[in-house]
Amino acid sequence: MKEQKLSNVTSTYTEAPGHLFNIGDKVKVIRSNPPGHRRTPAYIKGNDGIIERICGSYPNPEELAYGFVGLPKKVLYRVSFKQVDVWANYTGPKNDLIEMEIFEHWLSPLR
Amino acid sequence: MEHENPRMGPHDVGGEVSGPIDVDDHGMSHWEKHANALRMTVSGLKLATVDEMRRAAENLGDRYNQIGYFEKQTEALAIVLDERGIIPKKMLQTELNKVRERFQVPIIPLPDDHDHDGKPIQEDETGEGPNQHHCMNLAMQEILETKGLIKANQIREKIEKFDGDYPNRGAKVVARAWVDSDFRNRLFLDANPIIEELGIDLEHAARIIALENTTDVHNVVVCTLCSCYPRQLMGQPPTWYKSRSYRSRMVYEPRSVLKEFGTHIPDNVTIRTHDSNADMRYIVIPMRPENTTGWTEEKLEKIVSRDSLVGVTIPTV
Repeated sequence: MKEQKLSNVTSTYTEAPGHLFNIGDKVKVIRSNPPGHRRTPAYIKGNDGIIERICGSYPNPEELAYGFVGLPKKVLYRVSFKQVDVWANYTGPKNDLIEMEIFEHWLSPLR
Repeated sequence: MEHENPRMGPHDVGGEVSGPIDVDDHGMSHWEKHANALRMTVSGLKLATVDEMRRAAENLGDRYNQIGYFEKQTEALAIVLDERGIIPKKMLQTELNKVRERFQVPIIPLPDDHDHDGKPIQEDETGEGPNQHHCMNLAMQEILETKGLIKANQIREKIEKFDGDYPNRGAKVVARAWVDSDFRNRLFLDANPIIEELGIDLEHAARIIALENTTDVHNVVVCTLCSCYPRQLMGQPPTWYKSRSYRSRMVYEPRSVLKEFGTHIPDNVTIRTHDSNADMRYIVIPMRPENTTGWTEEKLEKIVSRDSLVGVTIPTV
């Protein structure tokens, strides 16, 4: 698997062992509306994007929010979306992008 | 702007149609600084997590939109500390009564000609004593101190850092990136270690991603779900960053929002809007203005405004 290049100094990037997706992969944000604390905004659910960066693995906020330790950690990605895909009436140029962090369990592969 | 999905709660505002943005920063009153410092100290010590407090705020329902930002944070903190058994509700109520009593001092009539150096005597901001939420925060602090979980100086130091140190750090990073290409390259690769080499202690609080503005790309940052912001690097976010209008609109009409800040980005420049929604925190590295050749870092720092670190303005000379 392709890993991110890091500088030689001690990096703060956490590891992302067993990550499912790689930079450049096409993904779809799962369209699901379970109750509870989630970090996937409603407006991006169901959209197709591209993995821009693997941020590492982080304690799961959906567990942390209720006082649990959030383990096992979840892989976090930055995903890039075209604004014209996200908003039907987007008035800006077609190259404009919107990017955000999405945990792996909110993404499905898109071939 | 419409999308098909139900919102997760009152906080999930990305895409909502909303009014114009008040682009002025209104600063913070003392009680807000105290509330912020208490919350940051408590989460820093892992007595409660930020996610628990966010969840508690999201669950306030209608109240979420009826009270202010720091009021919400205060109530959320109280809810979580109760859930964790650190400050049960009854204990907080008892302490709250004591705090209120402390402020009920008798009013002493003063002679009409009494003044201070010729200036009239100024009462506190409201003239009504501390507000309910400040009393809650004071009571929570009191209990946590009594339990030996925090020390008063930790809160004071946090307030001081927010007043003095934190807000100046972002400009320092930008100025160094403008003059030192090795620093710049490493900054975009992995920001935290290289920022810490400047003597800036990020307190292990957040992973920073530096975003590079170029002649082809302009970056802007927003947090639609709350108000994520690299506080240890840039201080307290300006008032507008936390506003409903900014959080709702920046994701679907960045150019219109930028115009309200007086910033015009031509259509041949791609706007990358970053919704800062999880564990990363962002700093925009603007382009160095022309006509600054030979400037010292100190002089360059002065033209880097806080707003430019979020991408809503552009440094100019």
